[in-house]
Amino acid sequence: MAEKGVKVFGMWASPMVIRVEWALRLKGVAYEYIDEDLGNKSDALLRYNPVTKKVPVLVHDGEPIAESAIIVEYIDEVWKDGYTIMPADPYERAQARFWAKYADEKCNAAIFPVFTATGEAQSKVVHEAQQCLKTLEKALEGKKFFGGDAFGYLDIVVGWYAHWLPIIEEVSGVSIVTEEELPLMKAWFDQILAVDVVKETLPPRDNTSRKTLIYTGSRAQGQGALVPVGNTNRYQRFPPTAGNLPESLPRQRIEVLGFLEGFRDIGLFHIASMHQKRVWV
Amino acid sequence: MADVVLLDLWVSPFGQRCRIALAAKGVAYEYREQDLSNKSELLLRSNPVHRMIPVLLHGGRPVCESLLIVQYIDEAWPVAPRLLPGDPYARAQARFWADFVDKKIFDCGTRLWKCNGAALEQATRDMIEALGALEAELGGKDYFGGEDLGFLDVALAPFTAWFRTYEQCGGFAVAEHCPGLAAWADRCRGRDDVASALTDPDKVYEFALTLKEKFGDK
Repeated sequence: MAEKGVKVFGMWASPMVIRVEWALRLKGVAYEYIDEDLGNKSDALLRYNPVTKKVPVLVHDGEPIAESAIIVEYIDEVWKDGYTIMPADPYERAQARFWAKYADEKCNAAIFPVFTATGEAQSKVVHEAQQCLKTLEKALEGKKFFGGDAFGYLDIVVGWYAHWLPIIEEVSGVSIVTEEELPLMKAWFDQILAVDVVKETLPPRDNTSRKTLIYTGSRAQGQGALVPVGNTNRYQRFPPTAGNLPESLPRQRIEVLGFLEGFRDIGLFHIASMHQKRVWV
Repeated sequence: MADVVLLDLWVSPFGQRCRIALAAKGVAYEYREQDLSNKSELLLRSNPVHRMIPVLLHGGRPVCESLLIVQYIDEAWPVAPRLLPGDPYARAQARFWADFVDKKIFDCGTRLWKCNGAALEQATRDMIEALGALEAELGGKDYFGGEDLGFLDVALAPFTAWFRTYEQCGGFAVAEHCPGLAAWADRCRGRDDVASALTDPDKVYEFALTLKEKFGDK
């Protein structure tokens, strides 16, 4: 009996996954959401995406599709009578895809070092992140959304900035998207956060901060993950390693955004430097 | 300026994707060779973000990023061959694997001419694994697109001109590990639309050696 229906394999904090949920909800498509523990991936996930083993994966009537931006276009094409996600004109489509690629490849790589840099180095990375976002912001000129009057493909791809960047800013103690530096982006954040499908799916901000799973992208450092200790407010290192970090750390000091799958691959989150800055100061 | 202009570099596999797509669709265009050590005003104006080739100018409007250009060509000239299939699932698979080519083949290929020692050995293993995944995806078909050239064929075909370079650097034979892929490469090179775009493999190897000289690990 052929498998029927729509499943999304995801991870609750992943902005790549949320793109897929936004697209499905815009189309009014019901789906089953399966949350993955990325430190212990399910057999199903590995079966559906053996090539990259990442989330999100959309499984439609038993057939898997991977890569969030590709999944969003798929959703738009399959449920073509619903909400329009992609622009109709080939040139506009090329522009939207161009900026999506730019954001995913350049902007994200510029944003994440904000977490790990300190002092002088941090102001430099903040400036670089702003430069990237200023380039992206050009695509917003004269428009309410990247998609024009309506929330569209590029809004879906980069909309996660509206929720996550303010958290990153708070946790890192910096300002990236300000009125002075990025007025269009700041205004667009408000538009994004008012969109129904966005409101329905974003983890509450407090929840994103507190329910943390911190993966150290820096494999060379071998720091391991920080995981909650039962129902307490403390976190401990797993697997436990030697080093100058305490085995158990107070939650309030680890209010950082935990995990973003793609960033693990570009080597982020040097826990040691984060802690020196924030935990014991 | 002609209605369709391609800003490109002779040996670039990314530019060649665009040339193949244009040739397959029978679109007349003006080819403009770029000097990347002295970038033209037109290139800088057309691709201010990356300042890279290829750039397609259609009616003066620039499209950048080779896979996006190929999709644009397919959509703007919706004539046979349709490079992306009609079925959304097949389209998603083609896009996924084209993205895989960008992320894996180009990366492994670069490491093959650039690296030495253990890093070179790793690059060789990674390349063989990546080609193996593509071989499995081809699955005995004539083309990734089925009976005719499709999106993934266009995405990967220019890299076949680099197979000899990969083989020389890595000390392996594509045909031995991926006979289906090797046969596919021959089939592609037998077509005018592909053959006219690709650089001769010996010239590619010469070029890779100059890259190694300039940028390779010492």
